Amino acid sequence: MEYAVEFNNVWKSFRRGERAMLLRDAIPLMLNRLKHHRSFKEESTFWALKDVSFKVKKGEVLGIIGQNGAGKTTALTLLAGIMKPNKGQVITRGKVSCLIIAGAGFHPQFTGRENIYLNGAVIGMSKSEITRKFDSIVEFAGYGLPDYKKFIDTPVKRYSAGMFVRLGFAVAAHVDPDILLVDEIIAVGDAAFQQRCFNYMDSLKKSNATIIMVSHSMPNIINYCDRAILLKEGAIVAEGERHKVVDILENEISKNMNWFSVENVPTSKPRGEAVLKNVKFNNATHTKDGLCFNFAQQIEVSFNYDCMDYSLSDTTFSVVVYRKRDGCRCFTVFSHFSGHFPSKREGCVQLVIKDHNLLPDNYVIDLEISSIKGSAPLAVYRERSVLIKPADNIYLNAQLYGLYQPGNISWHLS
Amino acid sequence: MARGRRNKINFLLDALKEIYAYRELLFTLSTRSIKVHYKQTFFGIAWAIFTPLSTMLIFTFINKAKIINVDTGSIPYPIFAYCGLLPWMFFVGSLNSATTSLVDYGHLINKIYFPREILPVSAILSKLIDFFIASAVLIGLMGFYHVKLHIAIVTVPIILLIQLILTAGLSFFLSMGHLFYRDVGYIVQGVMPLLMFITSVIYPIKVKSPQLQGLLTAVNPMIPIIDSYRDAILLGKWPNPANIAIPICLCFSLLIIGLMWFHKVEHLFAENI
Repeated sequence: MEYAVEFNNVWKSFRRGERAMLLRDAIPLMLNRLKHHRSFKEESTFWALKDVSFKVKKGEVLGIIGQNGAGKTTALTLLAGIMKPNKGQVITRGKVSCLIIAGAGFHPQFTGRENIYLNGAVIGMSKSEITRKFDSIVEFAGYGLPDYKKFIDTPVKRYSAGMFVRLGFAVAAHVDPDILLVDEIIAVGDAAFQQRCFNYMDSLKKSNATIIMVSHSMPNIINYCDRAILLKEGAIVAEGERHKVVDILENEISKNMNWFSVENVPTSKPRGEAVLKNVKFNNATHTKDGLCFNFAQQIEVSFNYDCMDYSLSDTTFSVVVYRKRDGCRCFTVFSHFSGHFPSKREGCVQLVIKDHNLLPDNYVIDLEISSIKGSAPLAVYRERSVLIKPADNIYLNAQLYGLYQPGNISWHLS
Repeated sequence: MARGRRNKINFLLDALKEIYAYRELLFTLSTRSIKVHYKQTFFGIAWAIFTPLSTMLIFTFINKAKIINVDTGSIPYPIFAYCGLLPWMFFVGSLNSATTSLVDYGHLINKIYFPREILPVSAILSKLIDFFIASAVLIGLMGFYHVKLHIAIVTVPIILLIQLILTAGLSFFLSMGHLFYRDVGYIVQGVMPLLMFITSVIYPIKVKSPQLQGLLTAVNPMIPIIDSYRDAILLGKWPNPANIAIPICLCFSLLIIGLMWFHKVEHLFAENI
């Protein structure tokens, strides 16, 4: 089996702190080191990559994830050949192109047209190749208006920041590499432009190119990668199936985000004028981490209520779903919206939520009895940990991430 | 031993092959820096003539006014001075811009791989265009002073090639040095104007002691190079092989050692810039 990319026990160190740029500063430093018999390496190096090994097959899409400073970009620069490892071996087979080069070599005084040729030459395209792809580059950049020629012959210093970056990406996306390195592509451009970037990656994938992608956007990793690697402080801590690797990182992140505990999820203190009890999530699996649902599985809840002396016509039941990690309120549903009011002082509510569109994540679900007129709820029950399990073979659109809808709700009051 | 030497030759060939593979980038960068240089200027590329011409006029005035007294033999002083200033200005200009080239293009070095040798070489190539443009004045002066052309003028391209080899060799060392220690840039800027006075630019270097003359010629290859230009263009003499043999060897070894060293450490550039 021929691998497109091989990382064999790669070590890479950087100097810590500012290096002496003038001889005046460098000579005393050297003398000092001689006097104290300390080598330069001991005092000021840190290892950005420690004994990292992985292999990528031809045609595979690998995601590299990790928190800031984990060594992701260092790995990419080594792959791009910009730097060499201190120890170990980096092997790439085929033409490497890198999407971090967007706009590299652009000169503000030159027109868009001149810069396309310049940037193309810098990233290894021939002049005839650029001429052939010129129209397509301009279209990719999103200047596809009838009067785009006005822009293309204007010095790029008069471009907006977005136009500038888009043009850089457009040129970079017209190289036909065997290995493509992508560093956080999602940060630029509008949805349409991002879609073009992903279409480009799709077409490369179809032509059996190898793609290595660094991203902080987990949906992108899950959507586009075959496999993922999790880096932490310069070492691989997890490797393999994308969902599992992404999960490990997300758990770690949410563990560290302790400034936002569930206790802080907003809710007002119940007035205690009603009672809500015997809450059952009928179809949930109970795990040690809380309740567990499969992705897209309907949620069935039942509970008993006692309205005590409160006016029945003013009483409503509601469900509120919060995303646990950031307290985002996904949706709220009231029973009175669909004309359901309690007919008795005491009774049972059965509730089924279908098509809720909750993405794999951790949630908090509040059940409330409250007054239609508003103010604080009469009674609240909080389910602190509801987990929607990640699913295989389900296409999660990045744009949908965070867009929730209550979907199909049925109430049954008795 | 033989194996080691063979590897070194391969190493050098690889470096040259890589530069050739990126020739399109080399030319694009060279033309780019010329365009950048003269964009938004009123006189444009005519500025290439300004420095050698104005320097020549000043020294002609100084010579005419007898502040200095230069014996140039049968050659009229203006054309003597211009014929020295032209290659000298090219030498200084290309060394200055080649020295800072790696740092100037740091944003490229940090982002993308290409043979870094391209940067100092393209700095030299763009100054070569200036050199050709300023040569027009020399041709004008030759017409004005009725300089007779001799067949020896065919050696001019060879002399130019030797000068280019010298410049490139030095540029590799200086640009690397400047990348690691910015002092190098200041040293080049400070030393080059002084060096003009021990080179036969505005007056011939004629020392009484032949040993000293030989030493000067050997350590400063620009003396025989400029002398050879004058011999070939103005005097119609073939360059003296005994004079230029040592400088040629020096230039070639500078280039080869410079290129090999450069190729060996270029992977350190990105993190040290």
